Amino acid sequence: MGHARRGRSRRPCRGGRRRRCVAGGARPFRPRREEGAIALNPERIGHTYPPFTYEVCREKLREYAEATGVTDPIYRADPREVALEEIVAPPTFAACVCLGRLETLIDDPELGAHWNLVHGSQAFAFQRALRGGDVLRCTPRVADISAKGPMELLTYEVACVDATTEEPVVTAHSVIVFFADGAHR
Amino acid sequence: MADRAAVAVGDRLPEERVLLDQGDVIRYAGASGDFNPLHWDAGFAADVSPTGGVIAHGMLSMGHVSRVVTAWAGGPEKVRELDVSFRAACPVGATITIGGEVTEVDEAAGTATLSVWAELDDGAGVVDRRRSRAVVVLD
Repeated sequence: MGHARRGRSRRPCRGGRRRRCVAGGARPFRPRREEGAIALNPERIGHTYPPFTYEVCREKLREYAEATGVTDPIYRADPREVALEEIVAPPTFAACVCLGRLETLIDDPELGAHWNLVHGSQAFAFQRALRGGDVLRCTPRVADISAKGPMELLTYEVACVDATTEEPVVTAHSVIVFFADGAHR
Repeated sequence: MADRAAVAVGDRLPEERVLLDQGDVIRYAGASGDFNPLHWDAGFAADVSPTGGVIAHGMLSMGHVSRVVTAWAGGPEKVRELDVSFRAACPVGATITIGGEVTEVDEAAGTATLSVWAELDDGAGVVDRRRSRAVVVLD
């Protein structure tokens, strides 16, 4: 399965109702509505993508805290009074680190992923909390692909280590549910 | 603060109700970098959304759950593990009820495991309490 459809997600959208093909700036969203689409390539299980680097900065911590209702004043503190390294990130800030590059999957022509997806589950395992100033080296990997009825489940793993000390910091596992045509209605 | 001597199985976190409106969802998109139009574009959502309309990010509900757990545990550095299952989609404009309950206390490890949830008013689990948990370090 999957191989014959490889690359289809790059085709332009077809007619139907109003449909945005491009949103959020450069990131393309191209929901595929191919009939009975089983698209993911199981040979991609275990594939590791090149690591990316993420720096935990003050303003992103503030934005994330505000967006999730965190009222601890440390996230709005004056930089002259609270050093960046003193700010411990909210645990789920790890999503900014680990899930900000999902296009890695979409852009992989060997994988066959598309934007007709939802988030099925999310796990974070912390070796230590993230802090302001952390520079993390994050390695994404396709941990698993399986089919469940008309859906396909992809487990996306991102392992983050301290880029300086190489010590593990957090590992994220995201199950992403890809829908074939109309499967979620 | 979650004190080792005081925490017991069955203890509940204070429940909290949170309205997730379109502004909250757009703010979360900006903060997290998740700009999937499923969360803000009604025309796009009409085609692909599980509900037929715009829905809040699952991670926004998880973020609120994490916030409540963090406050109970006494700080973000106390949270060892979060593992949640998203079940029901949360329509933009819905109110979720956030909660948690201690299901296990490991005296030797000094940790507590909690079942956690974020539920719609009809009881549907946006964060499904049967399959969502947090592990925190006790003081």
